[in-house]
Amino acid sequence: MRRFFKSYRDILVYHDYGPLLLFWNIADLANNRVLWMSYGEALDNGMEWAYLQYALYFVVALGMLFSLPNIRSCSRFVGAYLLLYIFSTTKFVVNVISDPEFAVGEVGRALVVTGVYFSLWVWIYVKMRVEVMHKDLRG
Amino acid sequence: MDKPTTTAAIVAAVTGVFSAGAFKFYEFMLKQKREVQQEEKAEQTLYRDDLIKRVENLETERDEHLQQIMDLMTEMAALKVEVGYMKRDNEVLRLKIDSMR
Repeated sequence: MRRFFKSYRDILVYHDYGPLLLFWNIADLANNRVLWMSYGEALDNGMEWAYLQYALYFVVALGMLFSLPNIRSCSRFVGAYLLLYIFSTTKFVVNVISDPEFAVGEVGRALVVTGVYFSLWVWIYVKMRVEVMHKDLRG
Repeated sequence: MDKPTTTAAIVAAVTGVFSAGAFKFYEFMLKQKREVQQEEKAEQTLYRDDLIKRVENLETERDEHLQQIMDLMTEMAALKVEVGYMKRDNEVLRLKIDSMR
């Protein structure tokens, strides 16, 4: 049983994030609302801030995709993505807490999924930064 | 900006600053660890490094001495030739003097 869990730990520690990041990026870009919705539509629905947020996600994901071969630049984009993620999640949580009408639907499930995705991004970011540090130290 | 946006922006900024600080600290720790490891390694290989240095010095000296020997041999060969000519001239002069007597 211990070996079974150790194999999961080994996957997290030793396996690479590159292919995952590549496929995730492509999926994230294709799924971004900026591609499927115009700014005018967002404005009509009172979603201009959300649209701006999606646009930022789009730019950062695009940067990540194109800087994938350069780990130093890519880690910066991943850091920016994480900050955006923290920003939008915090905003969501604050909205849920302060506005009971906002908290309709499966908030708990959404938060769990967000938490899992957040762990994924943190894992990728930490791995990248540690790799950059080791590269710097090796000179 | 509304309250949730402001709160979210503050939380994101604070997280960014703290994580940057944490990574800097981790980098510092990593550097310290590596320096200690390098010092330990240097201590372990002190005798070997000293021997390598001495061998390098001896090899340089040997090359210099070889060059000096080569120069000396060349000069000696030239002097030998010169002495040979002088001996022959001397013999010729001696014969001339003998014939004049």
